[in-house]
Amino acid sequence: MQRSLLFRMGIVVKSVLFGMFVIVAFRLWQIAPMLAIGRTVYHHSPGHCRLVEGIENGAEDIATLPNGLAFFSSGLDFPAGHLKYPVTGKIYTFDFNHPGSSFVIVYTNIAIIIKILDENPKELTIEGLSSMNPHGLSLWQNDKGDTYLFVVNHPPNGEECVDKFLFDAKTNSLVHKMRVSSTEHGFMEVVNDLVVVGDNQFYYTNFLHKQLPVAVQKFGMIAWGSVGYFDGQKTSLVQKGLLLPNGINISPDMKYVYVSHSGHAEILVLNRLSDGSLSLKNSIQIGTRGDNLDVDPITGSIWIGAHPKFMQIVRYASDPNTYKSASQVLRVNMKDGHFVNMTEVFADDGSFISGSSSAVYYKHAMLVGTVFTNLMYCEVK
Amino acid sequence: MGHLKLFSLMTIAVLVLFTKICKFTYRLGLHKTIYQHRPESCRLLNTPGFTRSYASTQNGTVFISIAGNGDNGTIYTMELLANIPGFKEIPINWRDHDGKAFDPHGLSVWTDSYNGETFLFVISGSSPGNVVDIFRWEAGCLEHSRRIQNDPSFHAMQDLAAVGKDTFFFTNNLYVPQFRLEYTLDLHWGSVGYFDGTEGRVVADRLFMPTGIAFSFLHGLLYVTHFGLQELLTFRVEEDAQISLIQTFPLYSSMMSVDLDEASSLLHTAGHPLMYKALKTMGDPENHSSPSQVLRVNINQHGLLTTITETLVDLGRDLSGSQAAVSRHERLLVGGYTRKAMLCETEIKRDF
Repeated sequence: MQRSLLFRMGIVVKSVLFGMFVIVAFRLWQIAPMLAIGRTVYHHSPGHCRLVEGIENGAEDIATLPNGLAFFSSGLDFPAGHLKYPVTGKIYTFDFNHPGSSFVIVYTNIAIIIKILDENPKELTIEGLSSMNPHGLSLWQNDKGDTYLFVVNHPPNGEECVDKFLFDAKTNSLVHKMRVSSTEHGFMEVVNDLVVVGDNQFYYTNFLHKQLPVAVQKFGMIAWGSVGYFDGQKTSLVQKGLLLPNGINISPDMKYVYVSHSGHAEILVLNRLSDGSLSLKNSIQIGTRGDNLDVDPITGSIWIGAHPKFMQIVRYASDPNTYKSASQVLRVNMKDGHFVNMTEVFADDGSFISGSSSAVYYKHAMLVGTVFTNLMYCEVK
Repeated sequence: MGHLKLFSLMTIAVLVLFTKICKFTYRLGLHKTIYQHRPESCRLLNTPGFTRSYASTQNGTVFISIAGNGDNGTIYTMELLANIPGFKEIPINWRDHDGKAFDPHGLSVWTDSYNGETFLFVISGSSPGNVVDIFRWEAGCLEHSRRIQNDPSFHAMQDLAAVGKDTFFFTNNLYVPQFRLEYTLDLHWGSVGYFDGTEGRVVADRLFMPTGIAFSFLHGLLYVTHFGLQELLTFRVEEDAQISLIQTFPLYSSMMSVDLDEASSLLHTAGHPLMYKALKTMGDPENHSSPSQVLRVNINQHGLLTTITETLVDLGRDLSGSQAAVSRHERLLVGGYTRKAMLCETEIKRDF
C-alpha cells in the first residue's frame, strides 16, 4: 500500500514538473524573437552624424517646439538608485536653428578672449524644485503662447511624479507649477513617458507594475503595464494588460494616441474618446523594442528611438559606461491612424552610439538621444 | 558490443544531421528582421533583363551580363558616371568561334597597363558554367580572342578575376551543378582555381559555395565572397599563384558578388538578406520577389577589411533579389532577379 502511494506521488510530481517544463519552454519560445538572438545590426546613417559635446549622461527623451527649439532630459537614474556613479538630473534645450555653438573672438589690450555667444545645448535652471530625476517629457503651448514642459520625475523616495513647468525663454529657466504624484494618485505605478493633451491633462505609460519584481515582468513577460490618464483632477487607467509600454505620443490632429508597446515589439494606435478613454484601433509590428516616440507635426510620421538587441540594452542599463547597446531609429509613415510604410533611418551596433531611446526630426536634421550616455546630431539628406 | 557500436554510430549520425539542419535553418534567415532604407538619391532604371553580373573599369565603364528571356543572355555596357547612364547592347565579333551557345554570367575586366588594351573575360554556359571566353574591347565592340573549355579544374564556375591577358582566378561555386543539394546538405565542395594561360588548377578547396571574386593589384590580395558561410575571405597571392588565407570577415548575410573600387579603398557586395525568400525567387523570379541588400566594406592601408556599412536594403518591392553591385566615385548600381536596377548617389562617410 505504501509503495503504491509513493508511486502515485511520483506521478503527480512528475506531472507537475513536466507541466512547469512545458510552461517555461513555451515562454522561452515566446521570448526568443524578443531576445533578437543572432540579429546583426549594421551601421548606416542618413548623413553626417556627430556626438553633441558635453552630454554624457543621456538624453532619454526629446520634444521639439514648432520653432525648432528642442527640450531633452538628461542624468536619468532609472530605476532610481541603480546607477553605480552619481548623476544630476537636468533639462536642456537644443536649438536646431543653431546646431553648433557660435562664438566671437574678442581682442582686448592684454588678451584674446573667445566668447561663446550661443551655447548649444543649454542647461535650464529649475526653479521651485530642488532636484530632478527626469525621464519622459512632453511640451504644451496654450492659446496665450505660454510654453509648458511636463516631465516624468523619479524622486529618490520611490514616489512617481509628473511635474509641470513654465518655460521662461528670457531667463532660460523652468518654473515649477504643479506636481501630480503617486502618493495621491494610486494609478501611477512606475511611470515612463507622457503626452500632454490639455492645460492639465495628459496620458502616461506605466512601464512596470510596482508590486512585481522587474525581472519577473521583463523575462517572465507578465503584462501588468498600462496607460493612465490624468484629467486635471484624478488619474484612471485607460489601457491595461500591456507588456512594458514605453513611449507615448499623439497624432497632430489629436485623434490617435500612439504607444510604444515594447514588450511585443509593436506600436499601438488608440482612438481617443471624448471622455478621455482609449480604444485600440490597430497595432504596427516594428520587430524591435521601441523606446520613445516623437510625431512630426507636418508629416505625422512617427520617429522612434529603439533597442534592436534586447540582451545588450539589459546589460547597458546595468553599467552604461562599460557595455554598448545597438541603436536604431525608425520612421513610420502614417495616414489617418494606419501604417503606410517604415524606414530605418539610422542603425549602429553600439560602437558609435549606445542605447538610442528617442529621435526627433526638424528640417533635414535629426537629434537622437540615449538612455544613459550620449546625444547625437545628424544631417538628414 | 555490436549493438553499442551501432547505437554510437546512429547517435553520431543523428547529431550530425541535427547540426546540419540547424545550420541550414540559420542560413535561410528565418530568424532575421530587416528594415528598408536607401541613400537619399536613388532611382530605378529599367533593364533589358535580369542582371547576372557587373565588371567595371576604374573610370566607370561597366560591362553587364543580362539574362535572356527564355534564350541566351547578352552583354551590355553602361557609362556609370555619365549624366544620364543607360544600357547599350554590345555587338560581338565572333571571328572563327561559334557564338550560338554563348550565355554570359560572371565577368571580369582587365586593362593592359602598357598599351591600354582592355579585355573582357566571360564565364559562359549554363550557370554555373565551364567555358571562359576572352574578348578584346575595341571601338565599342567585343572582338572574340580566345575560348577556354574542358579544363578539368572548371567544375561549376561562378565568377572570375583576370590578372593578365589570359590568366585569371575563378570560383567554383559547386562541385556538381546542383545548387540545392550542396547548399542544403552543407557540403563544402567549392573551390578557388587559377588558370595560368595554358591550364587551370585548384588553389583553395573545401569552400562552401564561393561566389564573387576580385583581385587587388595594389595589395596582391584576392577577395572572395564565401556565400555559404556568409563571409568574405581575403587571400594573399604568392608568386606562383598559390594563395593563403589571411582574413575571414563575417558579413552575417548571404552575399553573392564582390566589387573592388581600388581608388576609394572600398568593396561592395550585393546579396540576399532573407535566403528563404530568395530561394523561391531564384526558382521563379517572375512570380516571387525577395529583399535586396548591399554592404560596403572599408579596406585599410594593408588591404585588410575593416568595417561594414549597410548601404541599402529593399524589401523586394522596388528591387528584388539583388545579386550584383558596382560602385565608382560614389555612384552605385545594383541589379538582380528583376527587370530593374537601382542607381544611387552615395556619400561615403568614414565617421566611425
